[in-house]
Amino acid sequence: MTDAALLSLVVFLPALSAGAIVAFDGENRGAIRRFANLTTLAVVGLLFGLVLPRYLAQSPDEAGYRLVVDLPWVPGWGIGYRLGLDGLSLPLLLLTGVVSHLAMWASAGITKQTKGYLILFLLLETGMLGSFVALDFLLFYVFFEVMLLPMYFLIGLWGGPRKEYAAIKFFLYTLVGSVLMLIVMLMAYAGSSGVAGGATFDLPTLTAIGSGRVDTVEFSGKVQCWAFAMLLIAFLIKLPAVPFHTWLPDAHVEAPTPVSMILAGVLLKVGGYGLLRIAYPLFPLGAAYFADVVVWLGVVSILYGAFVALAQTDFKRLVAYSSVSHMGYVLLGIGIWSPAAADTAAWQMGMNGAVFQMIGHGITSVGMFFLVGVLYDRVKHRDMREMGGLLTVMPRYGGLSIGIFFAAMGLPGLCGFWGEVFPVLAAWSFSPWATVLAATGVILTAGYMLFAVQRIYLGPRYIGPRGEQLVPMTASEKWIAGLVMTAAVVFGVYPRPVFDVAGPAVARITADAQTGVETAEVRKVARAENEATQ
Amino acid sequence: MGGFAWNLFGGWSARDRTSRFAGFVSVGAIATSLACVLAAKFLAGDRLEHDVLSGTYFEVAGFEAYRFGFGYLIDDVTLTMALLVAQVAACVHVFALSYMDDELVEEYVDHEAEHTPDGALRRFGRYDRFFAFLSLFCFAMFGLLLSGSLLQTFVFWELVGATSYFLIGFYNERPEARSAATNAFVVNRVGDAGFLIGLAAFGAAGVDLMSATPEPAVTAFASISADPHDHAEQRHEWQAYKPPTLLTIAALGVFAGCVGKSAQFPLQAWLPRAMAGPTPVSALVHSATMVAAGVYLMARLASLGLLTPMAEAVVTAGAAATIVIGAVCACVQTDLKAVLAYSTISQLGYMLLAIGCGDPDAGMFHLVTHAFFKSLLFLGAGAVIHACHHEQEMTRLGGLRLKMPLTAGAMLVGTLAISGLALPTFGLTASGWLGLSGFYSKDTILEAAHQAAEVREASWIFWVPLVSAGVTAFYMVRMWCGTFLGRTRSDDAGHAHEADWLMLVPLGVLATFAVFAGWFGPDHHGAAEHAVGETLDVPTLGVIAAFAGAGIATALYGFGGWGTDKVFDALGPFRSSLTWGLGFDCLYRKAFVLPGRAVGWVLGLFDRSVIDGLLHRVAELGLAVAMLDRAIDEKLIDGAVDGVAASARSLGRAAAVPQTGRLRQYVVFLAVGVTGAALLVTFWLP
Repeated sequence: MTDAALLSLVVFLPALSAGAIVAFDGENRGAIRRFANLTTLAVVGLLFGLVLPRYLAQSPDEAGYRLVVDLPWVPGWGIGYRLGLDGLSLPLLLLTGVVSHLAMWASAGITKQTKGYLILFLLLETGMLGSFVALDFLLFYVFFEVMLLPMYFLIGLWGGPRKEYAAIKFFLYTLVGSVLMLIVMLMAYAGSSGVAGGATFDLPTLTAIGSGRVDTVEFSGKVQCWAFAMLLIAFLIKLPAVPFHTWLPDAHVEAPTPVSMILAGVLLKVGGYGLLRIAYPLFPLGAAYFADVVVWLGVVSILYGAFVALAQTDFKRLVAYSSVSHMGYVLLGIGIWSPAAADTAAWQMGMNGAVFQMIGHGITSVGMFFLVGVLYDRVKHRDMREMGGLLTVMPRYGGLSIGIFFAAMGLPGLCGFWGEVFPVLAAWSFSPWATVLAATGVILTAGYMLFAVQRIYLGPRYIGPRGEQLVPMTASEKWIAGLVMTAAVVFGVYPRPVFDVAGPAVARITADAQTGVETAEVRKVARAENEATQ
Repeated sequence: MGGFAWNLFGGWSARDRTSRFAGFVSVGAIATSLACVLAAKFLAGDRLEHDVLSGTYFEVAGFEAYRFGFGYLIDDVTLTMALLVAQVAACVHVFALSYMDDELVEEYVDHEAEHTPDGALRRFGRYDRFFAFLSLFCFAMFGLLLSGSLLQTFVFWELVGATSYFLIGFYNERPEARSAATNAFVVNRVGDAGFLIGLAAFGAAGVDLMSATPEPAVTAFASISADPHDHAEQRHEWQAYKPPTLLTIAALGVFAGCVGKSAQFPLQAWLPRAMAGPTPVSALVHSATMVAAGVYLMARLASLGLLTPMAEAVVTAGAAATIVIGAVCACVQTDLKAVLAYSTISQLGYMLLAIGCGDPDAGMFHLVTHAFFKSLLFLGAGAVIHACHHEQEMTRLGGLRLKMPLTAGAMLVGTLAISGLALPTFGLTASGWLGLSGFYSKDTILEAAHQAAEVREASWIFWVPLVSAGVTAFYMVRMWCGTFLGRTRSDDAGHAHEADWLMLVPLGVLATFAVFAGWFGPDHHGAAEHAVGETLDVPTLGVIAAFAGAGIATALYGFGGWGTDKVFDALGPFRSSLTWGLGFDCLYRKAFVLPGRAVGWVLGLFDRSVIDGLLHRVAELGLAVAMLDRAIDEKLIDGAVDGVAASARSLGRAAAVPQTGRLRQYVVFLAVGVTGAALLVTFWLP
């Protein structure tokens, strides 16, 4: 199988299955579910069985990508069907596959219009997988949009009491981001017209322009600032960062458990990924200009999310706000760039931490939303004031929960730790105050997590309604939570795999950005001299 | 040699983790650890006095200059600490085999938990879980000691905190236990945040404390010199080319971590509450080992010369405040374990005072002796509590010397040791005094304090610990008298019986160490006398203070029984404030926890009303525009269109001529149109 066929298969297999499901009898829920389950499992199998070995066997091309696919799509317009993987997208791609499968597994409780649900679910998976492999701006945009609509319906149709409100809020927020991205995409396209072969949506080429490696074309400083600002808003909405985060708690609270898992585990990562894949490489001057904004929004998100989580009584809302707080570390790690200092080691450390945090948060947030769901399935409420004693009533559930909570809290030896500690340590070189404030976030995190543990799991007995429904976890529930916990421990003890894969990609991004700024400086000086001589 | 140590410690840590199900597995694991450490001590002890063993297990991550490895670093300090931890842990494990036996039931009735509607709480016994956590703690503690880099230290540092959380919250059905667990962890996290900041600052200062590369020159952690005289030089070296402010911030950051972990002022309040855990835990985790980790780390930093004078001053002041607070609060406690807890706080203060005074060796010495006698005291207290059906209020104990003479004897040894009592030998021994271990270590600290007081011209550095030494003797003798002398003051105490041999053996072992451990400490007297001259006879003053404290306590409690404790009632409301640890807990709750939650509430409100409100306004505006648009469409444009329509109709009739209704004609039009458009596109667009 060629790379093109393999990657296309991985990306479009869920969509094809979704098409096949249309032909199924809607009443035969078991069959549809098995089929959909098999599809997500097949994606996981393809990813780990074929894509990963092939990725490791290949050596990167000059732009740093492997398994590169470059087929003409609309050649006249410089649009290509371009796919490829690097150290940034590979971990996220694998995460997407696994999280989708776990979420599919957790979808057993969805009995309302199962057929429609599964079709949308699989379309969503294609959108997510596609976003992480696309190397063409337009293709990325298309996949980005493909994620949006299924998500809207999944929340809006299968959600909780305020599902319509949450769905439309999610939709409009993200749509604003999409529109901004569309504008930037056209700006980049128009700006790249001087390149050999005409204007293009090819991300590696655009990256080369951004980093000043193309002599004939450059994005001017002003254009870069505008473009970066718009992209920043687009991806901050997705991430989400304060103040663009208010769609998240609503969406999470209303979304059914598996959709929450996907939303927190994968969709939020698209924001961080977009910043790293598009915003920073294409517009380093803009990034340098807005470095302060990125870092401080990160710090504010960490603290803001943690503070609000501290005051929550709804279990799921608490987890949702903890996501805001945790994704703040991603933003912090990505943002700590001081272009004036030519040494990017600290930035690399922060950015690696950010990538790790995306994976780590992918693991822990999926686990936490799943655990919320397990509980909600039984007692049909999420009010933490009416809980307690679950460690005694459901010992295994309690034990796994506390483990996953601690992983999210950033306890060393579990996967939340590295993603927190590296951005915080690295932030010192940007501003000691950023480190100090972000480190304070660690206290707040411990506060709300332990407070939740105390209220939900500890204590003599369960004090809420429907206590008799608290049956032990089923086998598949144990499996899902157990797998999440295992992943949390493995990556906590031995985080090397992620750093090994992501490290070179991060080094390239930082080096490109640094070169971009320096080249722009050189060109400016040269222009000034030119004018002086004339 | 390196390979030997690698295997040794690798196997050792793995063993501790595997023990999950029963106490004897756990005891076996810790016994193996002890055997390994002893083997290491005898096989490699000599070599380690002048050398270090270090290496890397694996590299966690590396970003250009920043490299983070997981490794090990073993020198004689590590070995001493490991030996200490293994010994105390082994004793505590054996003790717990018997102490926790009431958990060996299918249905455990917990009378202290909140009552359910059906009476006292019933749950399954958790003997296995207890030992699992105890072993996990030992693993984390050994990991902390052996770690090869500061970042790795931080990893295990947090892990011991987490296991401590589980152990404090062992009786999680009891409200005070679960809130104490949360409280302890959060307070520890406050310190850890400081630690993290310190790590970042060290990184920025270029102190390569994060790597575990084997070359000692590269790893600051490995460059601990065996010769104390090198420390001063090293310090000058560091400070010569590192920005001192940054180093101060870094050192104070790490110190903040120690303040959290070692329960120092102002974060001391969690330790007394942590006594809600089972007593063996208090003996191991909250007196001998984990809380001493902070002291250990500071001693390491200090011997590296990483403490700037400014940092030393802060450490000294904090330690002095802790000593006083701990000692004063301990005097008025009526709970057996609470006395010991405050005493621990105070003694940890002594250790840090020594470090602040520039004599980390003295601090480490006191750490070792304190570990022995404090775990002895805690285990003794545990034996009493176990015998008296979990009664630990001294007002309801008393007269136990007859029922449990062996325990009473062991506790007396501990009491005398911590009080620092000694007898003059008039030249028969080198120091001129013969005492239990606590005397020697406290004396070295007092010497160090005296020296520092002279150098820094601040006499309180010496007087505070001296007077507090007297107070220490007072509250310890008071505790012993209150428990073992007088008459029994409750039925539970009346039915007490001597502990079984599983408890007595560890007590005996620890008592032996409590007596002798001090005889092998570092000999500082020569140097101290040389430096200070004969102005003050420090040991004599120390002994006088101790005897004064002990004498007052004996006079009050030795004969009259507990009734004389009423003297403290004279303090009025201040007494209850002291009993509750001067209200730090309450203060922090009011100053940080509640405002924190309030801020969270306000921000949540901000989300809902301001940000969402803004969005809703925008949405309404959009809707209004849409309505207006519709109105314009319907009224204006449609109206116009209707008007136009009439004229259009006539035009339409004219246009209808080519519409012949023939399919072929349509196809031709379509083809021409598409081709034209395609041509246009091809020519006009790139």
